[in-house]
Amino acid sequence: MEDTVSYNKQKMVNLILNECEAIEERCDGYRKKVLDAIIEILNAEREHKAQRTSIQKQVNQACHKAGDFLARKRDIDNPTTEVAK
Amino acid sequence: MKLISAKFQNFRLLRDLRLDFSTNDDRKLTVIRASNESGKTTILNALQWALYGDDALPNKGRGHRLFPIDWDVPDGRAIPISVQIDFEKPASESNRNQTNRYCLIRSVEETTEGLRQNSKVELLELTETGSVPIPPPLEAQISRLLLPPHLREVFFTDGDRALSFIESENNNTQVKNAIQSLLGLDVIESALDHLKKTLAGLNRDSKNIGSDTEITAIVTELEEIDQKVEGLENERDDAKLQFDAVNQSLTEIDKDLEAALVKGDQEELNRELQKAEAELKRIRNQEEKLVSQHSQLFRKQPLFRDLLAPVLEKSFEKLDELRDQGKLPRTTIPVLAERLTDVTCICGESLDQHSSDGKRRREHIERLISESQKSDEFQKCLTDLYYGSLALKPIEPDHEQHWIAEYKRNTIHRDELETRRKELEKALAALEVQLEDIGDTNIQELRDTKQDYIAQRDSLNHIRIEHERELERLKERQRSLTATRNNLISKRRRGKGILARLEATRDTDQILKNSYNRITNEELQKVSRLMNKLFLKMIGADAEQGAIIQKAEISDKFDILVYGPNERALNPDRDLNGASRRALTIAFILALTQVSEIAAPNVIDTPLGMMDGFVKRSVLKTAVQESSQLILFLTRSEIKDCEDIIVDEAGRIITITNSAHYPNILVNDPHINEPQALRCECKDLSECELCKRRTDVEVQIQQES
Repeated sequence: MEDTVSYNKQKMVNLILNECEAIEERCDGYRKKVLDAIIEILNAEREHKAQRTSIQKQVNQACHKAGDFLARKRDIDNPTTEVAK
Repeated sequence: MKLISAKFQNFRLLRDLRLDFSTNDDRKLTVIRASNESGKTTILNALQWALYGDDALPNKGRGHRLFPIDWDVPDGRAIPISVQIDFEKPASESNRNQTNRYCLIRSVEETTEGLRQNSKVELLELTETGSVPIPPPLEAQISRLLLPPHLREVFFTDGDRALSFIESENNNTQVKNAIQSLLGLDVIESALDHLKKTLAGLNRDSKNIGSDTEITAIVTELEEIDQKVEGLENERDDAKLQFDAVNQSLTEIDKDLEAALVKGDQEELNRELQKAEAELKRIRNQEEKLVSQHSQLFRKQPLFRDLLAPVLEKSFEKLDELRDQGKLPRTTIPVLAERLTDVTCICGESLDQHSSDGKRRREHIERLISESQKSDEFQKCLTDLYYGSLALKPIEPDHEQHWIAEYKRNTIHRDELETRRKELEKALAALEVQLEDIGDTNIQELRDTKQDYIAQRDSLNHIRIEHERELERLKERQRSLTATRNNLISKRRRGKGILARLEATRDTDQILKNSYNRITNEELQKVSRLMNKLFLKMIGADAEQGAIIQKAEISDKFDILVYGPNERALNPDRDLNGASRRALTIAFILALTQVSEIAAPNVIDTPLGMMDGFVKRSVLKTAVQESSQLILFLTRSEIKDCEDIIVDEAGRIITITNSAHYPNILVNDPHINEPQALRCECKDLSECELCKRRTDVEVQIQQES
């Protein structure tokens, strides 16, 4: 099912893609994950406007997902950097 | 998205009505022709109610009856009300030729007391073989398929309500909301708010990573810095806004000052006025004095001498003759008598009475005196007359004492004074007009105000610079602390996870902030430019031809501004006529929908009110060109002069008639007992038996009788 607000679907995604390119690729695939998080957040926000949802939780989850990806990748890439507690 | 048709049941006047809309890309216009009180606004409300529920009704539906007012059923029995809308939308963005069709039905039951439950919504996808219900949550699906509720007022509007974009007190908020909604900025704004909370949560989490007091202290300081940064940013932004506002005021006051100086400095003019008045007074005094001198002239001897000259001429001749004949004794007596008091005669001989010659001469003089004294009375009279008449002898005309010379001098001086007085009176009148034109503009006050503004601006600029310095310092500290904290928490396994989440959230936040700024700057400019183009086209204003309205724009504060010649700001609310105001708001809506690229119908009730001639035709043509689907509710007077455009552009023309208008307005009896909106499809805007109306004159005569 298509979103009526085509601006969000096309221009905004293009714009966000451009902005994503400007951030540091902290690990391989990181930018893609952040973009996924942003799209998830914006969709959740739109849905929240139409029908109240637990938006804060969804935003947290989207960000955490990208962050956890970064943490996992760092663990895989640099397992030795982990410092014992 | 395009509307295909709408079916109304028992929605106020719309007891049973179906409307079909044109979905043809070549004929995008649907005209619903209806006179006042025929159901135009009801249709607009019913369409919005079907799509968005009670929130879209006036007063959000509170106290707003939906059933027909004359509904006659026993109390307590509910009336079924429903609106069904069929619409289509492209199957995908990439394939806009293939469309899917949907059917939305909203229904409710209402008692005659106006009580109604929540409405029921059904959403179906229409297929070749029938229909497939779309699963809940329906509101979200409707929003996805149709327009989000916050865009409703942009796409569904009426001529009067659209004016609120420029007329209401908080019009820039309305413009801002509309722009933000259509460009998706509201969604980003909301996301940024939520991201701020996510970041705050992660910061709190990082505090509880372990017992490391150093991390806790750093995180606490970071939180404090965050708060300070937010506060300072707000203050800086406020200062910037105020700075911009003061700057704007300065620009305006500069323009006022410039305009006032072009008209003239009031004080300077007042001084000139006083000077001219004093000079005029002086000249008037001189004129009065001259008049007095002039009248004195008629009392002076020289004038009488001249006036009497012709009369006395003969007398003078005669007296001269008598004198020449020696008949008029000269006035020798006083001369001779005077000689006697002296010792020398006129001839130089001695008159010494002790000498014999002197004595003799004296006796001779005394004899002459005695002889003269012996002249008769007549001779004396003649002598007196002769000597007396000498004073009446006319003076030579070229003599400067001559009255004519004085008269000439007076006349020349009077003419000079009159010329000067007239010049001064003219100059005085011009000064008064100039002063009146300036009105109450006080240049000194303007200069003082300007100085105040400059002081305010400098102070605000100083505040802003100070804040930016402090912000830079805090951000530097923030970077340093973040680096230290990251080092510390990365040493902990759990900390590494939180750090990664913080980094990802901060990046997300940054991307959205940058996107927000870019959309605001770039897209707002696009809307502004397109609005200007459409507006000038609609009102036929050519800036190069010196039109009164030269430009319209949306400022970065979301104000719709209009400019006249010399970049002079016009107030859209006050300085534009009704037709231009409507044209401006319609241009704004069309530009906004164009730039946002949202393909949705523009449904506008009475958009052409207050317009006529060129502007009306131009607004209609432009609206058709710039809309993806245009549904207009027009009265007959709005259609007048635009019939050819409607015939050329409209894919559908529907006429709605209120049966209750018979017999006062309608010619023929529709044979319907209950008032309701009836439909006919008169081609080419003609009239049929159903919609045929009496002329205004007939209606008036009928009402009076």
